[in-house]
Amino acid sequence: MTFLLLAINVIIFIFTYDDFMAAEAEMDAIVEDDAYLATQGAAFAFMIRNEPDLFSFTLRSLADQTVTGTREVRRTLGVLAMRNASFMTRAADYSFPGDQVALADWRRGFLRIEKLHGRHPSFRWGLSARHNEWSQWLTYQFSHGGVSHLFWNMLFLLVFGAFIEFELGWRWVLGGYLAGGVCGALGFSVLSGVTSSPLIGASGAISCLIGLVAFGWLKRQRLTFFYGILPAPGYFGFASLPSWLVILTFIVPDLSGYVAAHADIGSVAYGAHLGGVLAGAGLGGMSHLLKPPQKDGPLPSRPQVSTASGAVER
Amino acid sequence: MVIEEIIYGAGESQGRRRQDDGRVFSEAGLVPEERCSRLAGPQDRLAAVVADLVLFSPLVSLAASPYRRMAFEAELRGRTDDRIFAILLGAGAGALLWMVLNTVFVSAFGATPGKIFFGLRVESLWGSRRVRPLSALMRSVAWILECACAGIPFIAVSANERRRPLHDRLADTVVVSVRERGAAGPPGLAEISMASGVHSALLLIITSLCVTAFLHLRPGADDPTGPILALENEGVLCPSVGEARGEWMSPGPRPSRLAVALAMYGADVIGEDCLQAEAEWVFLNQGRSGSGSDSDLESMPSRRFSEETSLAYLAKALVHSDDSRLYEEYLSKSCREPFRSPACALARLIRLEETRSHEIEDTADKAAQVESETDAEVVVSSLSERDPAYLKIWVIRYFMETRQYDRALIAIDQMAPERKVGSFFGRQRTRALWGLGLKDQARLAMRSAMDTLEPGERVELARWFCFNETAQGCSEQSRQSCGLLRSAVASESSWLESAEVAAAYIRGESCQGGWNEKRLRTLQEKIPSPDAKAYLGALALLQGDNAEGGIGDLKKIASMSRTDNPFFFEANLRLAQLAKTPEELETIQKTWSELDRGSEGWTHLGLKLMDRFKSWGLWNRILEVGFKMVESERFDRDLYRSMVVAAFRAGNRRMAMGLLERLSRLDQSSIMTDRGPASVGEFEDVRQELLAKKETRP
Repeated sequence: MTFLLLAINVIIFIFTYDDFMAAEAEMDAIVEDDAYLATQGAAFAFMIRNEPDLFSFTLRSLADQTVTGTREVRRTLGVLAMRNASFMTRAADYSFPGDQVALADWRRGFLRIEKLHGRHPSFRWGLSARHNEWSQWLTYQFSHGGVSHLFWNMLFLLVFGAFIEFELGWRWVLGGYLAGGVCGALGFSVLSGVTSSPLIGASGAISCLIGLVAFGWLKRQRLTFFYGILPAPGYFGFASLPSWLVILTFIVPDLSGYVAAHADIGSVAYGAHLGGVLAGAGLGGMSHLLKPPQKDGPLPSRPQVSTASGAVER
Repeated sequence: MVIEEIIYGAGESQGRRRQDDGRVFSEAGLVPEERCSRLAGPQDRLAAVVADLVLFSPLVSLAASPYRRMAFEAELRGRTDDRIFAILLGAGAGALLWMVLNTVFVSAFGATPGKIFFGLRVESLWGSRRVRPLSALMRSVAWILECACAGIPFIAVSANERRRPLHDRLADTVVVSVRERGAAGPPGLAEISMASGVHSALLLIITSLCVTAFLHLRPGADDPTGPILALENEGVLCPSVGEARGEWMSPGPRPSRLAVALAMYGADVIGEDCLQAEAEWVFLNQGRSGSGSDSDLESMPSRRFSEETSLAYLAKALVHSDDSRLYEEYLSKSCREPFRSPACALARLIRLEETRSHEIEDTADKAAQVESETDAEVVVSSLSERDPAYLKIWVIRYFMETRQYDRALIAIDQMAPERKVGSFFGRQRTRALWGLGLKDQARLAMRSAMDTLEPGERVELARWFCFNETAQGCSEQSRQSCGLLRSAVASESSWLESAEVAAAYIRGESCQGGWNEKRLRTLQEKIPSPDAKAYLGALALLQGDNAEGGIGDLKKIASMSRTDNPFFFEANLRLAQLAKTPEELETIQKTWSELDRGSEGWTHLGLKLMDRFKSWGLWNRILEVGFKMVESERFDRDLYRSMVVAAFRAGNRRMAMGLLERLSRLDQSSIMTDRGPASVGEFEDVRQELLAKKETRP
């Protein structure tokens, strides 16, 4: 099942790659124009000043700075505007004062980008303010924003999914993946809020698998970790350690990232990760009931450490 | 349950003896000497720290995460002080949590998780070897401080007998290994020496860095123009515009920033970046005040377009003049009301300047230019004292472009003495006087203008004068004018990197006398412009014994593709002077006639060709060149005289008469210039003969 899920993700990525790159290139060509971003930033600033209650304190501060600050501030706001659902859904018909020639050019680019969203796989399959149907809650898990994004997600899917499948069975992997994805989307909606930038990636699903391992193995046998500190004997190898270390090393950073992230900015959907982890914690608890650990099973062993002489020290 | 049992499991023996009190984490019965042989080595301690980092850093990061968010928000808002404060708070929160974790683990279990994993223990040097909480706290605080010193104090683990850095010394603790493998014993001599060496080297580096930083931060060591330059490059507004507006002396209410910026731009005092920044300021403020958008105006045609908005669109048109689509869109937005508004008037002048800069390719282009010229004439003829300064400056530009020098002088005299644009008036007055043939007055005006000009403007004016004075050969006046250029570049030789300045400078030097190969080679070394070096090299060969080589090099320069380069024209002028056959001149003429008209070099070359054709009696060629120059609106009295003579000598009396009548008509206007009296004699003879023939005809 793990390999099946991995294959599905990879195949979907390959088939949508051309459309993805073509749409990205066209969008980049529009967005990388300094005048486009500066004009969009000025327009966004006007909307913020006009309707301050709809926007955060940070955005209101930035909007005030557009007049007294440098052009850089307008560009920054122009970038932030693309994430803001309130702006993106209304800007096409909104009446902005100022340089009407620049605004006409900007509007042409803006409408062009809106059209490109219809072709861009991330926007079609991902979860966003404009695409928030039930199907997106499932399809977003199989959509990735680049080779690197896909690679790291699949690596963790392989590590944790294979382990769970070996220990608990394929149903737990499939159930964890799908439930984690849905809970991840729920977590994202509740904790971060759906924006114009689409939520994509298998991170929520994989976070669920991680959570399942972290909480489901609290009373089972230890997990084997590989450690490598120095390239010398005794400083690298494998160690059997309790599963709560997974919470410390994988889940706490997500929590930290969520607290540190700003609602209007940020590329990592920590809310989705946390939603997935919660689902994983629930599944982990369920696994204790449905597949309890063996009572008289072998005790966990100490880490095997080799001395310089090659003897194994206990 | 002790930490060991948590990690290794209950009942597991580690091969160590248990003491009566049940502690399992230290060897019982060790005396200090024995403990020295079980000291933890630097690698084990380092590995333990890395393991602790991996385990503790997520928690530390969580503790610091609210402050990370604060710092990010402060950075977004451009509040540097708030950002630094947030970073310090975050670092403080993280350090505090680290200290707490270390203190708890060391005092409760004698080791952190990383140390336990690698079989290390922290023991007190006194009594029961258990580390007291206060000692553990001191140890962790000292550890954090050592980290703040870039970890340099940790090197002491190799520098003293019991391997005790500062944090161990403060807490009276020692770190031992409970494993056979991990024991390192006291450091040997080599290790101690190496540690001392590293300490010394680091001390030296840090001292050097501190001294450098101190020198850099000393008053006067900073570049004072740095922040101003950054402001001008990406600033919201231009300081020079604010200064000029503060000193504005024209009668009437003080003009707006944008009006001043347009005046300064017209006077070549500020560039496009400044003008764009000022225009955008107007548009942003329009948005800030929530005033109506263009779509509102569409539905209310009776509503007036604000003057400032018109000017902002005009400014944007100027900024985007190289993009024809944007230029037209901005220009059309700038004028939405009756003709007479200053903004509309300026739009018409700018449009004329744009149409004149393009080649007329068809009748539509010609019609557009004629219409623009008509519009412009209406504007300039209705100019009044009440009109803003920016409009007057652009009108002066229009007069200078169309060689209406007398009207330019009148307009200049009517302007108030604005300091920030005063150099523009000085320069234009000088050129207008020169254009009217009032050369002595022009020279006086130039000398008095020099004192008010910035160094760059001074060099440019001196260059212009020297170049035009020497167009008719060397004279005492040209030597004096070029002498001003020599003085201007003497203080800053980097001016000679400009090809235009170098070309004028070389002309001036050629009038100084002693024009030989040695002098040319000296100049070639002095002048950095590569084009000038190539030209001077060719002249040196000509002066030397390799005339053929010199002519070959001149031909190479004369055939370069950069036809706006002054040395392209200089080389062609030399070749025209040296031409031995009419065919050589005709080749140069062919090249010349295909060039863009109107530049100084183009004009000088045309006049040189006419002079040289005259020496062969090629009257039709003179007329060809002459008519081409007339098309470029070269209103030169001597040019027309030469053409009259040429037409007469060519046997085309009708043409000669037509040219004479045209000359008379133009003479009555004030736009004719006079290069000099030298050509009057022959012309008078021809003129008398033509008029006599006309009278005797029945």
